[in-house]
Amino acid sequence: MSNGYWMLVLHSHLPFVKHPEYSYFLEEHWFYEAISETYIPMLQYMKRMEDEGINFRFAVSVTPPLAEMMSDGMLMGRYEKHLEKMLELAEKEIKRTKDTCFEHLALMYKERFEGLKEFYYGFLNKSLISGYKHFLECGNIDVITCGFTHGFLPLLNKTENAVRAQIELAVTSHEQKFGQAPKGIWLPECAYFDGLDDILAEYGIKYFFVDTHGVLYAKPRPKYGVYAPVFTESGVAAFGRDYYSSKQVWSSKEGYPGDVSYRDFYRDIGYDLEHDYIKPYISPDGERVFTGFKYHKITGESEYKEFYDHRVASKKTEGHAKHFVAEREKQLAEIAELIDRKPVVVSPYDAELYGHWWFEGPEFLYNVFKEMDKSETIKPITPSEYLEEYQTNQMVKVNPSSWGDKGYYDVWLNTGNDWIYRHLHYMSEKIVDMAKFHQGTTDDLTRRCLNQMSRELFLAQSSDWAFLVTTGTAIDYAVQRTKEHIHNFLRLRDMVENEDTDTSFLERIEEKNSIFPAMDFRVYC
Amino acid sequence: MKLEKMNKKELYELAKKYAIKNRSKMGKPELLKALTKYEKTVTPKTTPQASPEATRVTSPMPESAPPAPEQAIKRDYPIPERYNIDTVVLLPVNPKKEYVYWEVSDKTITDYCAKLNIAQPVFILKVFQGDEDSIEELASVKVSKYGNWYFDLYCPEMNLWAELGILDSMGNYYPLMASKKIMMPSDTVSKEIDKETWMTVGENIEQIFDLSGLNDVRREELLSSARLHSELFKKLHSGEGLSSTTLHNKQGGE
Repeated sequence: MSNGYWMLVLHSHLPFVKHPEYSYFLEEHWFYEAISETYIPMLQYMKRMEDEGINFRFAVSVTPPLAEMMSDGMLMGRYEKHLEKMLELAEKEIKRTKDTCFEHLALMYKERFEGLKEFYYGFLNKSLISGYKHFLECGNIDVITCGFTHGFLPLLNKTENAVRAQIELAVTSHEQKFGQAPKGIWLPECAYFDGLDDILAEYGIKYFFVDTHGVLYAKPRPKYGVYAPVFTESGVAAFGRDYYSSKQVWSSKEGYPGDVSYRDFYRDIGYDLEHDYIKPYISPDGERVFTGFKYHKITGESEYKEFYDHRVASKKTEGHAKHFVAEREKQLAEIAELIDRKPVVVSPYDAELYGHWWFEGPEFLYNVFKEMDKSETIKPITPSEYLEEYQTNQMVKVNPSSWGDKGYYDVWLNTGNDWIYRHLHYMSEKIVDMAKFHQGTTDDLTRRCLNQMSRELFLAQSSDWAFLVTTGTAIDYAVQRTKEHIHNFLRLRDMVENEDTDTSFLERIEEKNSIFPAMDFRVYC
Repeated sequence: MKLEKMNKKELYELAKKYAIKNRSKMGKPELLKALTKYEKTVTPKTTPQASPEATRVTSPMPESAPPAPEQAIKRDYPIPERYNIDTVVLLPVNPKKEYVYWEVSDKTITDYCAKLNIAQPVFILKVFQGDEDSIEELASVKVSKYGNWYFDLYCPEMNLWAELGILDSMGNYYPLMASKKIMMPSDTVSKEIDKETWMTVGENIEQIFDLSGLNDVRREELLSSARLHSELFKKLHSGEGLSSTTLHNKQGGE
């Protein structure tokens, strides 16, 4: 008999970035890197655990924009080319490093990319979605959805239709991609507002997640703290984030990813090598970028970096996994004495942490499941399994919150990005009016314009832009993307109102901002 | 961060920001030299990417139109500053802070000026809390026909809304429009404990909350979001030591 459960939640998300108008686009590489560093490696470890008979259970979100990109022929074609280039670079690196002390590293990368390629064309049959579907059907994972374009729902809530459309299309597109409706949702940025549960319930969502204080500050006081889900009035369950297991990974001081043996994120041959040599593998305009070939370990606080040794790092993940499981066992033993049910420790993370930021992260998770498989007192569990076992939960009002810095809405609403909301609100009210007015339209151009207006609004709503403005990373791109979608929306509005459509403009943005080809503007009626 | 302490990638990115020529062919020493020279000759009045706190104004901030920092704007996609509609919206930032934006259409202004015989319209923005039985006015400020305002009203778990009105020449107030009511978040454990809690866990509730991290979470002012931590991760790997407090200051955005 176990004392309780561990519930891992991985949130996989990237904003919809697609630029057919350029043959090379820097921000598209966010996606290619995440595939090679996080999504495929995680699926590879899942397959390995299946083959080795290791019991693993967790929830993973694949947000609708990410699922769209994973199903986009153009983007996946570009990814395949990207992968070939990396293999080519690996070959060159083996020649270059021959008989040096880092020759083994070049070989490691070659093997790594070959492994990715084999898995991608083999088990995955060129479809990442099919990988997730496989483990969903096996019952190992809950694949959950997110807001349709990761809109920060509490700040879109001027018009209820705007929130409703984010949820409705998320559920529809998820069902289309994964073959079944999502049971749960990862709220964009974990952001909750009072009343959101009603909308979730309407679309058949059974559970969502909030940060620790979303549950701890709930009303009345939640009797199991964060160690059990609570029900909202509409019957949707909310799981609260466990603080301690988050800290073990996220903390700058004690966090595992900062270990000196792990791979350094910043030293990359894209920046380090002779320009003429590396030129074919960086931006065609000559700008240096990451290649993913990194030969150094964190080493220490100074800038001096030693060569990376994968075998040592690999051993470290075992040690860290053992420590992590032991800590969770202690935690569960302590809490299990106080409550009359099996507690659950909920550990949500950004999926991209594992592999992209923390190179050894997927291996660490593999070792955690391997270690947990041997444990008598802790077992991994999916949210659906837990809710099946415990069907009665305390009913509370969940506290409005997010998992952003300071715990509320500050990151997405401050003097740097507050200008966005005036436009988003205007656009959602406008599209609701126009959708109602034109809902019976038989004119193909009007319909297409309104569908595209819906896409532009959805893309403008993506919380990523406001986030990037706050963190100061890719700020120009974020501002420009926001303005682009507002601008396109308004131009289409004028075309519909003046019955004067510029078809070449419409075609161009239909191809570019193509999220969800089956878009129907009547989602706003 | 000092140039000497930067790694090559960081130096390179800075060189890119300053548009230093031939940067991609430079090694680390050359980059360092070029950047040092650049910083000596050019004293930037504004850094190319203004950090959010650089533009920060303590709230309530002076009224201003909403465009983003100048240097971030690319003119390829012009968008309007306002829509000439009647609107007022209140959004919570956190339990202690609210953001309001509003706009009065030209038509409404003309109509009211004629109706109330006003030459120069004066607009008043108010914030209220409560429900039908008891309504309390929390703030009232003079504003122009469109703009935004941050309030520092500590209103956990209260229903809040904003109202925009106009003054006639006698100083009488006429409400024009009101925002939707918003329930503000709480920043503390609820005093309300249901009966069932006493029956099932009783006195253990204190300990359960302690094990839920109540006190630790507070001490660290709530753990930053995972995605902000990704940013932290960058700092960690570039060897710049950061405590959680400097992180908050750096990335708070406010």
